[in-house]
Amino acid sequence: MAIADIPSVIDTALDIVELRHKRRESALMQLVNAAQRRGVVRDDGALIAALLRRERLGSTALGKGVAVSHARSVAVAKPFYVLGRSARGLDWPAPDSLAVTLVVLVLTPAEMSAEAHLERLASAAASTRLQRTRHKLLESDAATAFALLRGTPS
Amino acid sequence: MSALRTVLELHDLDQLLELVRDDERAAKLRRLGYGLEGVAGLQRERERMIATLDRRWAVLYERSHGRYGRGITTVRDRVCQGCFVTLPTSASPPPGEAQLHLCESCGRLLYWR
Repeated sequence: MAIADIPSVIDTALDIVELRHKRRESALMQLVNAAQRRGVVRDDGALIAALLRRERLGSTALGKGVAVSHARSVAVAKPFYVLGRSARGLDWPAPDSLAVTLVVLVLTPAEMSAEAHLERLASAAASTRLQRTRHKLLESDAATAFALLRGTPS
Repeated sequence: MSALRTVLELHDLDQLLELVRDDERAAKLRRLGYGLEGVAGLQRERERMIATLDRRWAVLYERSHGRYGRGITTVRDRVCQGCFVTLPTSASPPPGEAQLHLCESCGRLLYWR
C-alpha cells in the first residue's frame, strides 16, 4: 500500500464538535464549518441553506435530546458525519420538548442514491435510540463514534 | 444571490422534495421520527426560486432535471459525472472559482470548480 493511501484507510469520516451556541441555526453553522475544515464541503452557504430548508420541512430533533440533521447535497464532496455535543443544550423544537444535547449531521454527496442516504440516516438515528449508546456518543472519541453511528461494533 | 448559488440550492431542494414525495421513503423517514409537515411550503419556495433565476439557467435546469432526474451534475477531473465525457480544457473555470456550465455531450447543467 502506498503511503498516500494510509490516511484514507484510517480516516473516520467523522468530526466531533463541542457546540458553543444555544440556537439551532448557529449550531448547524458550526457543524458545517467543521465539515468544511475537513475538505468535504464544496459550498458552505449552499449546504447551510439546504440544512435550514430541511428544518423548515420538519424539525430534525427526534426526542431524548437527539437531533439527526441531514443533507444529500451537491455541496457535499464526500460522505461525512459531524457529531455535535452541547453541554448546555440547544433550543431545537423536539417532540418531547427536551433540549438537544447531541446532534448528528449526516452529509451525503448528491452523487449517492437516495436509498444510500436513507440507509446512512437510519443507521445514525437507530444508534441514538439506546440510552447506553447516547451516553457513549457524548463521551467517545471520533473512531468509536463513527463505529457507533454506522452500526458496527467498536 | 448568484445564479450558481440559486441553482445549487434548487438542486438540493429538489432532492429533498423527491425524497419526501416517494411514499415508501417518506414512510421510512416518519418511522425514524421525522415530521414532514412543511412540504407545501418548500414547494412554494421552489417556485419562488425558479422565478428569480435568469431564464436561460432556469430552462437549462428544468430540462436537465426533467430528462435526468437531477438538475445539476458535478465535474471531476474535467469529466462530466453524468455522461463521463471529458470536457474541453478551454472551458474550465479559473482555479479556485466555480461556474455553471453546460455539457455539450449530454446537455446536463454542470457545477464545475
